[in-house]
Amino acid sequence: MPLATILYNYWRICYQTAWQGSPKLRNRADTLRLREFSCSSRSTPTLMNEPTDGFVPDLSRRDWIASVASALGLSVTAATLPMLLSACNTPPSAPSPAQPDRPQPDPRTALVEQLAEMIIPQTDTPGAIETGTPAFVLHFMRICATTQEREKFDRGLAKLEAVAKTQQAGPFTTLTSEARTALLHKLDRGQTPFDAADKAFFSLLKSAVLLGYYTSEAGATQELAFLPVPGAYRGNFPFAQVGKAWSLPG
Amino acid sequence: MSGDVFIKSTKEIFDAIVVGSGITGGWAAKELTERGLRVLMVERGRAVEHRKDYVGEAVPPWKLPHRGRVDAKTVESQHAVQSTCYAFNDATRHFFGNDRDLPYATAQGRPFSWIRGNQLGGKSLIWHRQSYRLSDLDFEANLRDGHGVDWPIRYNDLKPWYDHVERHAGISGAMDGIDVLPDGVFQPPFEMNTVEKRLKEKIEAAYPDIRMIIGRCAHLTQPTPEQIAIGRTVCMARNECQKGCSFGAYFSTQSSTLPMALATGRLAIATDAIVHSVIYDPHTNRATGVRVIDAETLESREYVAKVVFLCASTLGTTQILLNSSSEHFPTGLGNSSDTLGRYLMDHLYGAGARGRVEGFRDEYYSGRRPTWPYIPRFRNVRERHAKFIRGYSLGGSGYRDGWRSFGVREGFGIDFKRRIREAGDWRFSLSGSGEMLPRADNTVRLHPTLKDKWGMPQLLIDCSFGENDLAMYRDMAETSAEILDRIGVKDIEIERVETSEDHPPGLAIHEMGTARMGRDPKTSVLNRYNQCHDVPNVFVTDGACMTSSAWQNPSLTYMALTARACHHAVEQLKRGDL
Ligand SMILES: Cc1cc2nc3c(=O)[nH]c(=O)nc-3n(C[C@H](O)[C@H](O)[C@H](O)COP(=O)(O)OP(=O)(O)OC[C@H]3O[C@@H](n4cnc5c(N)ncnc54)[C@H](O)[C@@H]3O)c2cc1C
Repeated sequence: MPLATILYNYWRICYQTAWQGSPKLRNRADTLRLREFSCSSRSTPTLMNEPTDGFVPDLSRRDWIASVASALGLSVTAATLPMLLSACNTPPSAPSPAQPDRPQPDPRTALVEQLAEMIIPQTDTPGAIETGTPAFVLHFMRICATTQEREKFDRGLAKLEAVAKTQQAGPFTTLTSEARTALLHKLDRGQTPFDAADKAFFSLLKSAVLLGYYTSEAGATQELAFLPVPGAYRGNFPFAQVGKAWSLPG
Repeated sequence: MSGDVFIKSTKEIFDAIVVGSGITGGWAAKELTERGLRVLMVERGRAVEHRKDYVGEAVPPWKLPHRGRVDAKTVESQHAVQSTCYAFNDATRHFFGNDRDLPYATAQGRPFSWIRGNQLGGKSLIWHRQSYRLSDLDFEANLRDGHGVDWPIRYNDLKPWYDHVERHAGISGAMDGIDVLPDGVFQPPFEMNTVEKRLKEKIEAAYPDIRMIIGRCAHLTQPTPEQIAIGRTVCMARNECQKGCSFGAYFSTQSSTLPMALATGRLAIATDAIVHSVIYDPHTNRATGVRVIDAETLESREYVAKVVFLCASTLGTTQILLNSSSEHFPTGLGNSSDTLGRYLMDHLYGAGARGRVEGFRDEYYSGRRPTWPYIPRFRNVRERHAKFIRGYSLGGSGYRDGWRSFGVREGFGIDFKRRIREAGDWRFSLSGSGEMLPRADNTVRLHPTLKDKWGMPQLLIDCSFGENDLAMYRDMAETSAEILDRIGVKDIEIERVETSEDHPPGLAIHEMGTARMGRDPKTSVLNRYNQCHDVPNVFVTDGACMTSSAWQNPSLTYMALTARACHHAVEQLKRGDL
């Protein structure tokens, strides 16, 4: 077997362990997500760095490092292995105590769920709601978006609700499915009662939904084709051979 | 890396000190130790260990809390500048400098984006690995049109050193036989996809002066036994390189030069040690070592050596030299010519065009290629352009729209989801990389009052594009669009750069020229061996040494110049000349 194939197989195994990791591990990661960590492995007593909000080093990386190392035929001896792995064991440095607990449930959750599922509905694969995309969209707008984007988002949602109310006494979510679809088509094209700014809002919302969905496990691996370690680049590759788009950007 | 490699205080007198551990520092450490010298590498940032510290690698997207984005608070407070670099994301950001801790000032109305990597390995961990040789068209350019001073070397001086560094680093590419882009020691090239191949034919048929080749890059496609022996292996086409690569498939300090230097047993490393200045002895007219500030304790220390190599990146090295003032050198070490801190250049990036390619719906590709098609310079090679001198290359890329592009497309619902699954239209883009002229008033100085948290004077950068630069920018955008139109690409969008705000200098991350090489000590800082005219045991081999910017990605040239300078320094040391 060529070296590339051996490595590829190793990697696939590692990836699978990574995402099938025990539920306990996943829950831990979920809670840790919302806290803040300093990325640097050293503390600087005299020149304290503020903790930064970063991702949690994945514990399964230790398996991954060990297997790459052994696949490469590196002398992983009893002496070097612990050193090699020590980083994976190092708990993230002190979580910041200042971070508030989970935010209050967002009153717009129902609306964002409705919109996200209309953009990416459930088909033979999960849709936006099943993959947790609406929560990600709200998280994204709260944590990652620029002030400008956040304002655009807030204004756009408010406008959509206002328009829905002129059609019926209730919010958007209470419209009939036909009425909702018709309204969204107008929003998508910036047609009256919507304008170019509203169309831009819908683009922003769509981009956030697509990011949430196609980077979710189901979106990346079921709806699209997920190939973390291609092994090589093939420029002459019939689409039919994979049958769907790659999820990782090319 | 064994424990005793890392040192803090020491009384040892080293043969050489290398400041910086990025692309050039790694090369200096390798070459000098392999030639028998006992070397101390001094790095301001933390230690980063190969594989172990690539914490963003192999983490699937759904495991990243913001799916790769960085939270806005962190961006604003710590990465306002770094986040403008395309490679900055949640899985790479720990390898980018911290803008809050490493502040710098710019002249009013003249933005400059200083993108940095401040850790063991420097920017070698996060570079894009495009690797090209300069030719005599470039080495003779200043002499020919009178901008800047003449390079003190020609292609033949550097050719054996290009061979030397390519053999070790591992460069994939094809023997293209193009005068302005000399061939080298290559591993097999990456391939073009079907659409790129088709468009290459059309472009070359329509424009006799234009060739489209596959980009040459520092990736292993057929590792040599030497490369395999240090744990490097073939590229897996993941194109997530800036997270670090446990396969060691791309050239970095960690994958390539550091293991070689460590294997000699003659390398010591001091991390978290900020070089404050070079210590100068007026009696011998030699540097005796460097003064450092401990990044964690703020203590001051000195390291002593017979030779000092400054490899702290263009602006890092310039900061150190400017800060090494003495009675003898009131405006900075080696600055009798008043050229230190002048002639700052970058490359002209950000202008081009892209559009939609019809058809080819059955064609796709597999894998994520870490390089792309490349059109070497064609302007002012045979004919003279009326509006500007020198020239640019165009990077091209043929790809199918992925889900990221669909946010701005109309539609939603089942059909929308199906369109994304079926992969979008083919697109083709061209984007320029142009030569920026050296100008004396593009400067970097020490700020008269502002300091960083370690007490180092901040840099004050005053840099803008000149007339020639802007004229070239215009041509890049318009010519890209014209080429696309001529080969039948539809819905063409043009990307222009008309002011510094559109794409600030620095953002091409090829800053260079502030301690240039030259023949005359009155008009340059360094001689033909990257050796300070004024203080012969100080060498500068990072981008600060560049006499002109040329239009090629520069790091391969930095590597070759570094290896050549090391060879020269060792010869001189042996002869007792230093
Ligand atoms: C995203 C990106 C893409 C790029 N793509 C390409 C490409 O495709 N092709 C190409 O040719 N180039 C590319 N570059 C540029 C390339 O990275 C640089 O040209 C190269 O790294 C320069 O090498 P260097 O050794 O001079 O500096 P660096 O690699 O930056 O290393 C300098 C080191 O010196 C240290 N240092 C600085 N000041 C001090 C001090 N006072 N004391 C002690 N240590 C200090 C720094 O912490 C750093 O570790 C890219 C860069 C980036 C960021």
